[in-house]
Amino acid sequence: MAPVERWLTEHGDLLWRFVLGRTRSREVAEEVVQETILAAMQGYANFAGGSSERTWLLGIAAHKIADHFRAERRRAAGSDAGNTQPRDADNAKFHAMFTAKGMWLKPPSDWGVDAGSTTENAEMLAALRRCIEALPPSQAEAVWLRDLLNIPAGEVCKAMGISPTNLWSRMHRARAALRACVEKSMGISKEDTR
Amino acid sequence: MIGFVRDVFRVLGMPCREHTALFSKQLDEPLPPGIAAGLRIHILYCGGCKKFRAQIRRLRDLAGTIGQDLDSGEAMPQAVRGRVLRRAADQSKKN
Repeated sequence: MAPVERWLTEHGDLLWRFVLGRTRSREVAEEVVQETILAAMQGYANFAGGSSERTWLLGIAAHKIADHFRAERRRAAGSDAGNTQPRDADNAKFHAMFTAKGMWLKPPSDWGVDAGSTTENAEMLAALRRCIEALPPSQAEAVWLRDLLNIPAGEVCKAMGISPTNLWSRMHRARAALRACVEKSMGISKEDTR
Repeated sequence: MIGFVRDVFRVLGMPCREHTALFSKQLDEPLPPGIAAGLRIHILYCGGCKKFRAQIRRLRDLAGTIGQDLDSGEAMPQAVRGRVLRRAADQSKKN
């Protein structure tokens, strides 16, 4: 029997903030939390304790959020195309930074000193939030678990059901896309690379 | 020692596109000492890689502050909690 009451007592608030923060709709957040708990009940027998219970639940929630955004993008685009276009565009932009041999053609712009002023950091933080949500859902899911919640890579792989190689490549694509997106939002790129 | 030196030279011979993948991987797990040393040497003379590395690290650190915001904020409303528990109980009965 799955200890649903205990899950909600111990992790319910974190789960709620996590899902609400990403979906920004109470209605959607409630639906996602419900689905997360139902999926957790089904998977509880197979939960081997390879990660903490909290990580495991957050992993399921992250997956359900990605499903929600995938469905939303499909609805918005009217087809699967909405799901693949941004990723291809990001990849193309990243590759355009290099020569055919992989050397820098358009190196990153200068962002100034390492830790900027408070205002600059706040601006960058806002840009980063927007850029994370604009990532393909599977990349946003990995970034949330790994970089925002700081869950060890091994546990993220288990929670997402992917191999370490798959996670590294996903994180690399995501970080490169976030770097370019934040640079563009902050208006610090040397030129528009489109 | 031979492995270490081989790794250093392997990294120094790579194109920068591959270095960027290693800088990202380094944020997820420690790299073998020779690979890490090769990257440290490389950024001494490669401005592009040095900036890329600093920028993805800065964004990772900023991302962490978004995650920390989750420690405070709104608790799960009692009504939501009640509905989740009811649906879970219904599901248990079905199984």
